[in-house]
Amino acid sequence: MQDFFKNIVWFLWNFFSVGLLMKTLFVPWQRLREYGRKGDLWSYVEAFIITTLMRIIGAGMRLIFITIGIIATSIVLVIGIVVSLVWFIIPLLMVGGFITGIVFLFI
Amino acid sequence: MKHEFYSLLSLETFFPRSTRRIVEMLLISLISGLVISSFFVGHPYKYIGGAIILACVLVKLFLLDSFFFSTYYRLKREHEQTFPLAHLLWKTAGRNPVHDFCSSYFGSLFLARLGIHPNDFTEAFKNESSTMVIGLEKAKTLSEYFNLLIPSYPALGALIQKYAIQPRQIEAVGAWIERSYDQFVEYDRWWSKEHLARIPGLGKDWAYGQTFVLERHGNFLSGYGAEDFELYKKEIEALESVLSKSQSANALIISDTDAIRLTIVQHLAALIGSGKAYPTLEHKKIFMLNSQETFSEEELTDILYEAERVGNIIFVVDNNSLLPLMTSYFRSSSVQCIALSNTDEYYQKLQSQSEITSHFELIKVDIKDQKSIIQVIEDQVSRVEYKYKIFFSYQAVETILESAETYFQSENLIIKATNLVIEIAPHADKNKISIITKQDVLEFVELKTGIPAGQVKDFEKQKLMNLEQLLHERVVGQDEAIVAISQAIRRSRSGLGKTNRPIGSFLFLGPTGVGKTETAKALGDIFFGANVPTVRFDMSEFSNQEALARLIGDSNTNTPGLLANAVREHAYGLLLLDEFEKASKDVHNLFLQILDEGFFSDVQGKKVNLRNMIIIATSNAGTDIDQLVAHGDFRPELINRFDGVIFFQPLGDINLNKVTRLMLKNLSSRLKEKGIELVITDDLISVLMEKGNDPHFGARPMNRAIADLVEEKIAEGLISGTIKSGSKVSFVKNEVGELILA
Repeated sequence: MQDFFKNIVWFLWNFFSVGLLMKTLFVPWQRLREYGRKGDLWSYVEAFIITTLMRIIGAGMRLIFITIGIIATSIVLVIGIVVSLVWFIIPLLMVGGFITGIVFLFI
Repeated sequence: MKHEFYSLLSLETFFPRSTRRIVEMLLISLISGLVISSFFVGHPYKYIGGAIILACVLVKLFLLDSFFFSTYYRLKREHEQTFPLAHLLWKTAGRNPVHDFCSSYFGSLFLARLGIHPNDFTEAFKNESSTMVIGLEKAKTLSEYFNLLIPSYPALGALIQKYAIQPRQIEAVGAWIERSYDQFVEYDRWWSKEHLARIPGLGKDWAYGQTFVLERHGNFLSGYGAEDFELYKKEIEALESVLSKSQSANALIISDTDAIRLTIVQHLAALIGSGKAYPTLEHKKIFMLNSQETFSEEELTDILYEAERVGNIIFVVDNNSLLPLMTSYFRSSSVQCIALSNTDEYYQKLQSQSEITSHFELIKVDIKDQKSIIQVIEDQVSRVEYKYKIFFSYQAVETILESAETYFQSENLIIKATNLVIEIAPHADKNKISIITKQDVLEFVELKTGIPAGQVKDFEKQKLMNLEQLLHERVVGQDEAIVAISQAIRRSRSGLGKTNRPIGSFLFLGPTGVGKTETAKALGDIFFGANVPTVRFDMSEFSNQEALARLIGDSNTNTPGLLANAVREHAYGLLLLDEFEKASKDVHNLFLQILDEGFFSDVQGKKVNLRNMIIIATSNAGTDIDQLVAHGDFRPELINRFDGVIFFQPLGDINLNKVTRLMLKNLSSRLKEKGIELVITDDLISVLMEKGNDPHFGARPMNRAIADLVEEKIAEGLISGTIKSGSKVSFVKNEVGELILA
């Protein structure tokens, strides 16, 4: 059971590329960037603006995926922890569940 | 031992995984339906109550699954006994062991794979009483259990003999069933890392750039031509894990076959392309540098600089002289490299250069043995069995591999064999064959190649049994030679001959014009049919130093070999080598291998298969083997390689007379097509016997005499108009002994 949750957490982390995207959060989108030309100050400003724009686009897209990834991973992690904690009382929980279900049926 | 498996076995018997899977799916749908419905009704409690009850049942099923997998893998680790055998022992304990075996699921599967018909089995054990077999409980595998039964039950031994089942087949069938079951269980473990790792991730290449310089100096591998994954699985996975490392993630693949090295890399490219590679590699691109191109240091720096900037490039280098120039980049993790090499190059050049090799991890490609090749085919068979609902006996699987090797001309045995499996399945399906046996495979091969591979058919039986007579219709005399050839051919076609050699190989010795070539041609026509052309080489043209290159191909001029081409085109038929003694020593050596192994390698190293040919070499150098050897015409080992050395006797007058009549008969049938009848008179024969008889040259001068004296005159008559369609032509002898038209 622990393996199961460990694998799912590992999978979600990788599926949303959380680690990779965090590491490259501010890398320009598709590494598209401009370089300034020597002696041309304006070209430096241009390059700075374009590169920053690409960084912002890249970071935006990445943040969306990182957030989804972290949320999904956390949910599974929490479920995993809960299941591990209640593992030995699952039979009791099931009996409880049955009784609750039947009670609900007759409300 | 048994009770350890007990709980697992009970679960699998009363509530098997396949049923659980269906119930789980049903429950999930019902729970979802109830929960969604609860939002839209006034009193949702009943719905929620139902959902909670069903959820409890679902949890119970998940727990059963969890129990199954953890117990299965624990028992697999702790015990040597396989699950199929445990299942068999549990289901059947205590009664008649043979009956138990036959009636259990895995036991009956075992017998079916061995090709044993259930009725035969029941029949054989009808009167057999139960015998105690000691040690059955201790057997670890299905085949061990089966082997323990054999000595105790004579009927079983007799059955095995009847079906000609070999010990290795018993071993292999057990292993196949057990392996398939393991794969079946593994397939259901969708949450295993191996399965999850193959699901493609999102946003993997957002952080990498475009490649402009690289594309000018090579190409990205797409996985094209990636075959035999299962066979090279070990190497591909090793490559994947080496390249996934955080440091020195470079691999050096060593194999002596170019194609195999590249296949492994292509497989990795295919895995990445389909998003199935490990997460650490899934954003990578595999780039192969042009192997023909010579790079200046500056160009290489540009390439490497771009690769470093782009950040997700794995280089494939098969020109290892470039490696020293790339060393400084190997330290950075942004450029990775797969170097390709062969054993010689590695040990002679690379191994000593530790500044290079320290950055690489070696991946040596094992030479694949028959067992692992057959496992690849078994897996393929399991897949098509599932798809087409058909069943292969193990003998059929073995025959597929043998046939692929014997009857198909192509480099890669695995591809040939797996293709055969893929092709035979729909064929069997169409013809309503549910169990594919050895015979079905052979018949399919015959259908596909035109080479008689299956059982000897009636008309062929007639031909083989009357081969002497049929040959005599075209060859006069030479009784001894014809008997020897016929016997050798029958031996080969009955399956007694060695399969890894040509169908037959003969050296015909004797003076010129005694019927050597005619016998060879007659044999070709009778054995293969008149439609199959004879591949003929005049070996006197292959006596110089370039002879071998002309036959197998020349690497300098890039010309393909004459023999290689001819045999590839007509892999089934007669290969006639005239004046064989005149061929060069190299050519004789080539045939030494061909006669022994039934194939040779052309200049590109591709195998050319002659196992479906009859090879006949003729020679008029002499009729005494000792004399031929002493004279240096043939080496003794070459003579020994032939299935038969056949001596042709000089033709006497009586035989020459018969030959003359046979030749005239041939001419007569040619003329008949033009509506002209040739009357064969005694005058005609006597003049021809006089003019066309030269003991030194056998029947050859007769051919000339007929051409000069008979054909010439008829031709003149046809042109001048004296002979027309419907004419009857006969010759008489005039007073000076010349033939004139009557």
